[in-house]
Amino acid sequence: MELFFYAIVIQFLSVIVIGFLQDNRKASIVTHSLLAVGLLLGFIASFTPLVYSNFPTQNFYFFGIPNNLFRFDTLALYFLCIIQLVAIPLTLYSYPYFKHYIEKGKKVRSTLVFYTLMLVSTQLLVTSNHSILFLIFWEVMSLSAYLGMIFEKEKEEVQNGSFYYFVMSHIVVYLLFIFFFLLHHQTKSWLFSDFHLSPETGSLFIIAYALSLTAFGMKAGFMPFHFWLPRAHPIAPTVFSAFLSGIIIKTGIYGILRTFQFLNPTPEWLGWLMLAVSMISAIFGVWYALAQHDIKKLLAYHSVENIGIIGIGIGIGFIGSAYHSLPIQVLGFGGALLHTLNHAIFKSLLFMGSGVIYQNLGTRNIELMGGLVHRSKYFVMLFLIGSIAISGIPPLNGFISEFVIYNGFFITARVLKNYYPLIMLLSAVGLAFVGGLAVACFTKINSIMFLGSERKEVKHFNVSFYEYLSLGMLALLCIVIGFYPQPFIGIVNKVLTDGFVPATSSSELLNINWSYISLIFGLILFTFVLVYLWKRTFQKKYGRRTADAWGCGYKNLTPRMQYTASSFADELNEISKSVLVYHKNSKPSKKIFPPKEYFESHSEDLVDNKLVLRGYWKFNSVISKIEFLSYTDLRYYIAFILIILTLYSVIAFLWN
Amino acid sequence: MQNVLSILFCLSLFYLAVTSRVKAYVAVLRFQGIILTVLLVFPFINHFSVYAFILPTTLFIVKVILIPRYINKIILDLDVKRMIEPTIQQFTFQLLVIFAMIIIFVTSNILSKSTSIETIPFASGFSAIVVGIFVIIFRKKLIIHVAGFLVLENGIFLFGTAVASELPMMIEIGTLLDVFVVVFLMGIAMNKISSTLSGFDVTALGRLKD
Amino acid sequence: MLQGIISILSILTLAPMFAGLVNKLKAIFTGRIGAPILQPYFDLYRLLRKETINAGSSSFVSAISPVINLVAVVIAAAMLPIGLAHPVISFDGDIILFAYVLGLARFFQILAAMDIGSSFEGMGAAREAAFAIFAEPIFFFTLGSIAFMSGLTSIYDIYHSIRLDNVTYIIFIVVCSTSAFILAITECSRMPVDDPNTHLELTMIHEVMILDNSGVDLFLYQYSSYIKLFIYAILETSFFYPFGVKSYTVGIVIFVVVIAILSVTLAVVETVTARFKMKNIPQYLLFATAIGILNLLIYTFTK
Repeated sequence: MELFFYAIVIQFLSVIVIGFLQDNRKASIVTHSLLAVGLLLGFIASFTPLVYSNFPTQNFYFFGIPNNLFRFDTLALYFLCIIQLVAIPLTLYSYPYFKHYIEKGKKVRSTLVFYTLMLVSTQLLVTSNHSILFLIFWEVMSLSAYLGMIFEKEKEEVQNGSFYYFVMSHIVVYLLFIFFFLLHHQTKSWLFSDFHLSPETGSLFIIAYALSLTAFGMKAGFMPFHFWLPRAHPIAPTVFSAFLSGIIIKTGIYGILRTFQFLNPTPEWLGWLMLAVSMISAIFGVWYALAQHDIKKLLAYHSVENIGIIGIGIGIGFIGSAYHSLPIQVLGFGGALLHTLNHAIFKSLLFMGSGVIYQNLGTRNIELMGGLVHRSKYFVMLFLIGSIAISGIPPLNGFISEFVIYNGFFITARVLKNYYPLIMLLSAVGLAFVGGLAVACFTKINSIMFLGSERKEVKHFNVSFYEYLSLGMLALLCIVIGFYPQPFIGIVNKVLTDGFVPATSSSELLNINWSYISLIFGLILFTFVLVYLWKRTFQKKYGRRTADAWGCGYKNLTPRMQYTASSFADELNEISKSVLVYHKNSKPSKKIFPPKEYFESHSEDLVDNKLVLRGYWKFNSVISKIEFLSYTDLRYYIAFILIILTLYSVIAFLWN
Repeated sequence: MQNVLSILFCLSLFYLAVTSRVKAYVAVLRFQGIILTVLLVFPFINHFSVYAFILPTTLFIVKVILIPRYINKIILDLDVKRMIEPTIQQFTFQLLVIFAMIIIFVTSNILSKSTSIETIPFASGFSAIVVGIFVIIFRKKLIIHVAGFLVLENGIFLFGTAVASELPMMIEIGTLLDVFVVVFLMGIAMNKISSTLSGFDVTALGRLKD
Repeated sequence: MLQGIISILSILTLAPMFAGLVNKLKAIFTGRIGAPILQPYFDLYRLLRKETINAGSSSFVSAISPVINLVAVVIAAAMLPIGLAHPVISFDGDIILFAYVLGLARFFQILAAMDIGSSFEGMGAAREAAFAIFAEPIFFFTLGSIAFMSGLTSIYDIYHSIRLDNVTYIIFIVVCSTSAFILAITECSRMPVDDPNTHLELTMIHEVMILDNSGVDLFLYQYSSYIKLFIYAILETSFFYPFGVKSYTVGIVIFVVVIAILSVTLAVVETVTARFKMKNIPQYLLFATAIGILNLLIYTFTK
């Protein structure tokens, strides 16, 4: 594992190098190459033990001295792998991304430092074994992401959105502090490896779970706490939003899984709670996404949906844990872990793709795009692969993880008879419903952005080599996991046997007939090629030409007459109008020669609007009432501190 | 058999949630009346008695013939528009009914473990009560309120058969009479109202002051 | 395996005939003579020899979408048993793959429609996307409910587990098949949901999506829609096989009889009903879902 730390050192070196390099361009080149090398080394270091050794090294020797600060169990290694898998293409992508800004004369050195810090701290976060260390890295990760997010700080929406993120991440840290203190209080240790609480502790167990699920759930973006995602993702530079959506929200999932390792077996109602919350996140996340016109905001809501799907797997796992049933746990947690990997891959692919579009067109509004397929066919293909994967459609990787979760439902129904079949069926229907909505949503954005003809003239559309490379790497991963999932299933299985399920007989995941599924996918591909070639021969024989589309006899069709994104989604948004806040403003006129008319539609977030903003204003009005306490002079504050300290000590004295 | 009839009964409730015609409500009432009659006749197939004859006949006459015909007459006389006037989207209403029904079924299953009630008729009756109330809450038209009230009453009837397999006949007949009188009075009242006020909205009733 | 191959081949060859049969019956019920039953074959043959014309703004999506449609539908067809024959593709969990493979076809169909860049296709695509979402739960409440109840996850096993030995179960199956019928109508764009013979582009769903296709492309689309109709017919008939009989030939006979009954039912429904308002279709689908839920509730709580 020493290799991993050398890799970290190499990555961290770039921070120092930037300090010496004044030139933005040189700094960017050096940083990115150092990061790429470091990440690649790190990936080798974390991937090899995961694949080759049966029980990966548990302890870490820091220059020969054993210590407990870091621990490399399989869960940590798995998340480490996910981080590096995303970070390598992201770094390749970020080079042309920042180059673009450098050419415009923007200073990017500090942002590069934050980027490096974010990568390094996230990698260290998942490996740390000491809770204080964990919190430090957590804080560094959150802050560096925040600082990177305000790259374009002169814009007002950036200030707003990043403020959301800032406040949210601090609430999370406070809750985590309490959580770890609680565990420390019970176990008299700061180390993760020593933390354990059994359900016999009663209310303490529940409080610990409540704290952890709130804190990590907030980071992950489960439904009532999802409001920061659609605010923060669109405004961050693509590199940061891809990392936020791909990795940082996954640290919340990592936290929940760790919590499960500390506190098990879970009570059954917790599984139900998790399942219900996740189902709500999945359904409403994707439904909100459908109403969005901002590509990055839409993807942010899709993160809520996918976190929901991961949560469904975790919920199934919790139920299995309550009944001490191995197969349920294996399939539930296995599906969650696999979907974590898959989501990291295709979500960062989609975010990078949206970044490419944003850089070329200068807008995130999909209503102004269209016809990009005629500019760059291969780019559209890559984006399409990501879209198919995220919709959970075979033969790509999204289907594989959803399939595992469906199997989790089946096995739960089979093992725990009674009314479980009913509820599991309802969950399966919910998941299928989510899949259908995701199809609607991704056909919407793909067709509006890429297909048809250009709604607004596109001046230039260049995709550089590095962008192709990074997108291609991720798309390849999507395809590989889809067609040949066996090795990845094997890794997930290894993670599960080491720390999740007590016994080693976790073969339920391997028992699924994966090779048969690969075979069918191969068959699909083979038949596709066959029929396509057959079709081509017929077209050669009988001719093929292009003509104008049918316009009911009307000849002067303009690009503005194409179907728009809002009308595409309108049918579905109308239905859910009472749940989602969906407004339509129009002023139709009935005159024979109509004057200028307009139509607009926009959707707002229920939680954000009704809960967060309102709460904020309430809070603000309370604060403004005690404003008279704020003075400009420092001495007053010191006096306040003294008063508070005295109060505390009096209370503590009386308490004892 | 009881279960099958309960299924049909619940199906009619779903139809109530999906339809937007006033006529359909009357048809549903008729249908439910038939189901309840069959439900009453069924236990007496093997041992015939006079009581076994009286109640189903009365029920049939009142619920399948008299009340629907009377409501139809009101609709014709007062020229009630054929669309119901929902206050929320039909789709939402339907979802509401589905979720209410799931909750009712699950809770009544839990209840049935400790008591001697039969889950399915009990839950169907209970759902009919809830759906009747929903109909009254989410519809504006007065005539639909009458229908909702009658659905509620049907629910109570089914509920009763589930709780105790044989209710005292006289009470049942009394209830029937009660309902009939209520509908009758409602009809008269509506006739009167229609001559003074132009609409049949409940909202219009708010304008009445003593 | 041999039986399975025979099954899939017969699905591929007989599918257009089923559509032809339904159309013929429908014509008879409405008092016309109607086209011959084999008309779909002639149509397909005619399309095959036509020149392909693509819309000006179309891209590679239009080129691959008809092929993907056909492939997905054929793969889905290969999972279904005809009679009691073992299908070609059958493994634990293929019920999920069945639903999702059809999702793949839908994904590309919608994309190809939007690829034309015309509002007509856009309308059709939006409707297809919206209604498919509400159709998906119905599938799970019919076939999926049996899967969850019996604990079996392969379509072949699921159909084999159906035993009509108690009254509740018979009711359960009958209601399931009703829901499946509504599902078939929706997915195959038949009458109360979509009118395949309408002349106005604004009121179509499926037909408008392939409005600008011709030649081999249209051949592939039409052929896959015939197969899709047949798939749903098989899905429907499979509920009624085993009245205690477990023989291959009897299975085939029952299959033929039920298919015939089904085509009559489809034709009658198409004759007597008018198309719904577009706005009401989600309600209609939700109604089918509600039936499924109720069915399941009652089945679960019957002792």
